[in-house]
Amino acid sequence: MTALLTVDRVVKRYGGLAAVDGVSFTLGAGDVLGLIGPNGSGKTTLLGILAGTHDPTSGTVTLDGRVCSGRGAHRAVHAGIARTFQTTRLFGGWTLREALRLARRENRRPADVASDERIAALLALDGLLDRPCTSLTSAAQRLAMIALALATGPRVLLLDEPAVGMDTAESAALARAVRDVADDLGVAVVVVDHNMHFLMPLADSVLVMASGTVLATGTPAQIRADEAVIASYLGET
Amino acid sequence: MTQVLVDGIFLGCLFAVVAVGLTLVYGVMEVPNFAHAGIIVLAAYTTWSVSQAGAPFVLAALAGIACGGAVSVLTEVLAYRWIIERPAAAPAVALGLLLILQNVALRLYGGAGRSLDTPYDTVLLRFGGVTLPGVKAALIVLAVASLGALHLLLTRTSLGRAMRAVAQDREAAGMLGIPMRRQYMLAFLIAGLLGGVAAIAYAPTFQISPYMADEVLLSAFVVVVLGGLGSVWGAVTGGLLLGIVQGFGAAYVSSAYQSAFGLLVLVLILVLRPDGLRSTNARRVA
Repeated sequence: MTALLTVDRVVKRYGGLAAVDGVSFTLGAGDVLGLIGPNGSGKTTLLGILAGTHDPTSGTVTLDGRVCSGRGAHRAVHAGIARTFQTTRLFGGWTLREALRLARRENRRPADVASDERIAALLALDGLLDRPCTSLTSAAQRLAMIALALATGPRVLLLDEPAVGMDTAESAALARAVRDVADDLGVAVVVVDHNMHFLMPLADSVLVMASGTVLATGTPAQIRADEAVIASYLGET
Repeated sequence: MTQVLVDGIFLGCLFAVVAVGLTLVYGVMEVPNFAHAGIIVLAAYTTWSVSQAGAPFVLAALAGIACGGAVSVLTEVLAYRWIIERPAAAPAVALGLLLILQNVALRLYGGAGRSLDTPYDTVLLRFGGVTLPGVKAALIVLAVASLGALHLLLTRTSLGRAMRAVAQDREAAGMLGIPMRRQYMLAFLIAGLLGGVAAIAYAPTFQISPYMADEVLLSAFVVVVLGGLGSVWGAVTGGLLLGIVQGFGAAYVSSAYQSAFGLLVLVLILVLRPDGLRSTNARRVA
């Protein structure tokens, strides 16, 4: 199977500092990749490059054979890469349905996009479509942000610490929702999170970053057993 | 009393139309667009020169409004777009653009005041004890019509919804795939068209000169802060409030202090409600 998303030797320098220093990986449709690493290891910068908000200093991101890096956030979205943020970013007084409609309209392949109801069902947001976003619980708001990303009809979904601030039950529900999105919509998902109880059962594979480079890749079980990863990040348990 | 109120409403409508143009641009791009006064000046001169050339007033007015929109978009494309990553440069760029636009007007038309004649110059509406000159009535009608059209655009069209989304959260709007540059241009286009409307509505009550809009711009900025930065309906309510306060202050205390009453209201609002009457942008209040 050819890869949907190919990240090829991506580098991002800020002055003398290489925040991301030669990261490569591939991702297939429906795969969930966990992206972990200590603070400052370049995870969020890498996500920003994938999402088009940062231009890579060198290297390319290819979606389905087309280079899509370095062209601005809205072009990445049109190409099929959508993201969510660490902090909840929704449009205050709007209902979820209004926001979804806006996301849908800005998308150029509306036929491929799941309906509002389907998105809501996948994310367990049924019945909340017509409530103002601000009246949702904080966990539901984070799911709503994923719903907005899905309404743009992405082929790759980037989630930046989606489980932050969630309790165990909420993060388990989120993990189920992300798995459903990957399986049912065939969306490739990249998840950055520090919560290993959330991430490890969810991810098909895990990529560990340290100081901007790839420290290790493998299945969650391999990563848990990797001594370098334990030393630099996971710690002894 | 009623007469003073009606005059205040006239002034308030003018402030509202100018302030909405400023607040739209501020909301979307966080630029204090001082150059807006220059847009009004050029729109007014365009109307005047087309009308001098013998065209009917309606045509001249449309030319003025179109000029306002075009020049406003030009300021965005040629200047503001390039400093979007450096917000601290925005006030200096805005002041520089204002000087450039005013001096273009000075160079083309000279410093002498021109008067703009309209077909409704001689109309005088009377109802009860209140008289309203045609030019003032026209301004109120134009203000209500253009702000009503803007309201429909912002609430009923997807371009307008995208604009509100960008004003609330630029990055989150980008996440939905909204192209920022299109929205910046649209905000400047609408602001410029409103500036053109303000110009043709206001020039006949005053006279056209390169500095005709300076005081209005100052009042409009007071209105924008009153209403809450980036809030369109705040700008409308703030505009009416300021117009009426200035009107009453001028009539009952002293007209020399007309602008001072506006600034007094500003100080009071800033003390009592620092975010403005209807602030919508919590994220800006850091």
